[in-house]
Amino acid sequence: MRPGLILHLLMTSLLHQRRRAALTILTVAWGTLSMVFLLAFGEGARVKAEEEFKGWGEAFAMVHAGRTAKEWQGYPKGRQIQIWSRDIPVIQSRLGADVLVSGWIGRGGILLDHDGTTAVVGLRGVDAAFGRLRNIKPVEGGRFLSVRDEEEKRRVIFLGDMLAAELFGDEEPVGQRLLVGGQAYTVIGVLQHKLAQGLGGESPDTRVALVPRTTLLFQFGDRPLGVLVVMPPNPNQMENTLKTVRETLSSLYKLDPGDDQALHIWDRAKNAQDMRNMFTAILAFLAIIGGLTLFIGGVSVANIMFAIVKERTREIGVKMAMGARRSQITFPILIEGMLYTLSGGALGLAVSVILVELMGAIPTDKYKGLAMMGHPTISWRIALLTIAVLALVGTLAGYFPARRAASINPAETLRYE
Amino acid sequence: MNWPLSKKNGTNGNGGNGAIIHMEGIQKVYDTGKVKVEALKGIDMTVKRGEFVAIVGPSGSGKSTLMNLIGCLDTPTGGTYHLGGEAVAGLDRDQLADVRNRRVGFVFQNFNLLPQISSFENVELPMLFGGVPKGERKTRVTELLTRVGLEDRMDHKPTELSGGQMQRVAIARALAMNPDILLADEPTGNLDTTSGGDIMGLFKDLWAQGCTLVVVTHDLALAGRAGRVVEIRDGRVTKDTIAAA
Repeated sequence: MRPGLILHLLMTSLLHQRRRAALTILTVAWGTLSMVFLLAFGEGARVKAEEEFKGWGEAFAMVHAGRTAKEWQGYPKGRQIQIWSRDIPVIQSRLGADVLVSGWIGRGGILLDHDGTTAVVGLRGVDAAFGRLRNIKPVEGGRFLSVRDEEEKRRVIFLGDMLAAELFGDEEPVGQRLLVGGQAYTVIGVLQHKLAQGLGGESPDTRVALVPRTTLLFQFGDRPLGVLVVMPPNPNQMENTLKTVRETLSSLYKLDPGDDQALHIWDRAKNAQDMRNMFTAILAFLAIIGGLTLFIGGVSVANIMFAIVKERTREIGVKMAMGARRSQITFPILIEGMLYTLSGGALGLAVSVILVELMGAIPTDKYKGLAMMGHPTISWRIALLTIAVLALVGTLAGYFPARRAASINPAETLRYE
Repeated sequence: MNWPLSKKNGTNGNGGNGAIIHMEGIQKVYDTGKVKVEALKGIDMTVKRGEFVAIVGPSGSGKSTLMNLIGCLDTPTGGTYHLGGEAVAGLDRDQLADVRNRRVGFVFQNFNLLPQISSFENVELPMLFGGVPKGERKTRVTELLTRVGLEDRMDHKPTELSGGQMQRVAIARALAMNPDILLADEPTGNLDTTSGGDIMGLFKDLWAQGCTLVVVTHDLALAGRAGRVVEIRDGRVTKDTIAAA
């Protein structure tokens, strides 16, 4: 059995430079490790942010009423606009049943009292749809507000997990009575802890106190909505949905439909896209840094290949005299450079996979900073990108030395001394 | 792959007049930027199939330059050169490589074998470049190494061989693609008298078998065995003698 001659030449060359080859491979492995690691951290943070984002509910938009900034049909500017509960059925009928519509009425400084344990909160009256809009999930044993609660103006209340703990301590809150502004309510559910931050000056969800909007109006009298929330079944219908909302409210309250001071719209779907774009930019930035580190590895491969070409000048001259074509001279050098690069890459990838797995086992939830970063994750995208960069680096690292080899003048190298 | 095991005949291989090498007014000027060195000043030379030509001359006479041109390792700056009827001027690097591969077999003073591979693989190398199929390579390498008397040294590396043996491997390698000419540059220069004598004997045998040989040498004994001696001085042919048979 005779191994292929080309392979044999390659193997003897590799064996001949064992130490140098090993160091070169390590350099590439280090570069690969840096690149994969940076990207894995970036990806981990992205996944985490995406999760948090989903904690808020995904593609909804919030409409706040403000003051008109434009005159319209004889009305002056500067009018304070208010959206009322009675507008919700009108908007719902224009949007169709597929779109979730919910109002939210705030009432600050309300005293909650459970057998003398008290808390003062901003009470919110919301619709049953609000739970789906905001992705609110109750702890097992409880439930969120229902349509019947709304219709029958039941005195039921849903509590944020921290607020429930403050009021009830170790007791099970669901089913307990709670005085809300002096009136007796029943606790029907407690929020499952989620990682969403407070929103626009409102209290964080962990301290939320939600009752049916109808109940709140009944107890405290009719008030304008703080916020109108809408969510189309598909995020890409958001633009049309918001257009309809704007038109409906403009005709109801005689507004210039283009007056964005009268109606402030906060579009989560657009925010989600902005966030994704930002993370794409961050990942690209990390990829560039990692890629540059990897290029240093490439430089060391090119360096060893240049040295090899120099050492083998005579050998290359001999091959040329034997009639080796340009490609027959350059191809083995390209292959050798690629081999060093890919061996280093494989080593680096393997080590980073192991390290990322190990890091995944470290509990991060206790430390806020670590929790923000999430768990580093190696996705297929990262692996493919790294392999693509490795292939590019390997090609370049072999290309220039191979070009030098091809430019060797056989007549000069073969001249006897 | 067009791979001629049997010698090409007729005009294709020889040119019209049976000449393997046909040079007219060959000039070679090395232009180093500041200085122009005129190494060859107009060489006219024809070598016919089956000739054994020794090229002699003092150092700096232009022998090596002439040899590089004959072997297509370099191209002339003036004049015309036909090798086996094929005009060499204007060929690109790959075309020149093909010409070397098919038409020229090189033998060097310092053997120039690849030290890391066996005799077998060294002889195989030109056929690899010429695209000869594997089975044919094996047959041919065995045949050639047997012809130079090294059938029992096929798996030895060059470092395990004596100087004379190395040069014989190099000659087998030079014959691998069945070239039009065997071009040797001081082939006995690094050998002791006995080994040198062996190699001279081998050349004589090859000549007798019909090979065309061009040998550049200082070695008067070797030159004396050649059928024709061409003397170069100062970039010109100064003597061209056919030895009495």
